Amino acid sequence: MKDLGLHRFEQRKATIGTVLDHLGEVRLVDSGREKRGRLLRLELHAPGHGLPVQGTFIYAEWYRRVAQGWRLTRYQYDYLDRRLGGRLGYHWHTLTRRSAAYHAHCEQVLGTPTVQHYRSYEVDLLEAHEEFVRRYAADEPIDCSGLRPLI
Amino acid sequence: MTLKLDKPFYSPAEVGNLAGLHSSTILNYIRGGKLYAVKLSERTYRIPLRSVLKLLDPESVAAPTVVERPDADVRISDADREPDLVDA
Repeated sequence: MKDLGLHRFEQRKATIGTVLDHLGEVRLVDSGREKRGRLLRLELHAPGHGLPVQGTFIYAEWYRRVAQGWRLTRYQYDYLDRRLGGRLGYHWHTLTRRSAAYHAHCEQVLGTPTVQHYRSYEVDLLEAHEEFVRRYAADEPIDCSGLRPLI
Repeated sequence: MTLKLDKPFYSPAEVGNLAGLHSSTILNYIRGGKLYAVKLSERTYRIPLRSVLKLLDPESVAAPTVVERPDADVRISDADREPDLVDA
C-alpha cells in the first residue's frame, strides 16, 4: 500500500467503518493522530442487536507518520468463528528470528493451533474482510488444509 | 415500528415479506446498493440482520462507536505481539 495523505487516511477510515457497519456492532479506536505512530483498531461483533455473538472480526493497522501523511507499517486482521469455533487471520509483523513477514493464522479449534504460522501474502483490510464475511455468511467452517506452514 | 428479528441473516424473499415488497424489488435494492447483502453465489444472497433493520427500522440502529485518542502513544513494536483472542 502506498502512503496515505491525511485526507485519504480519513477517507479510508470512514470507508472501513461503513463497510463493517453492515454486519454488526462496530467499535473503532483511532490512537495517536497527533503522534509519530498511529493505530487504527476495529472490532466488529456480529450479528449484534441482542443476539448471541456468532462472529468476531478484529482488525488493527499500525501506521508511521511520513512527510505526506501515514505509512502502513504492520497489520493484524482476525476472524473468530463463534458458532463452529476457529480462527483465520492475516498478519504482517515481525516474528521471532525473522523480519516483518506476511503470514496467516489458522485454527480449526480456537486457541489450539496445530501450526503457529502459515505462509501468506500481502492483503488489504477490505480484502480480508470480504473473505471472512463470505465464510461467516455461508456458515463455512474454518479449514486450514489448503495452507502451508511458514518455514 | 419495533421489529422482533431473531436470525443473523435473511433471504431476499424473507425481507420482501417483512417489508411488504416483492423479492425482486429487494434484489433490485441489493444490486442498486440500497441494501447490503453478502453474495454467496450468482443467485444466493444473505442479508444481515443489521442491514434489514437499516432498511425497515433505521432508528433502531445505532451508529458505530468511534473513539479518538489523538495524543495516545502508539508503539509500532506492539504489533509484533500476537493478540490473545481466545477471550476476545
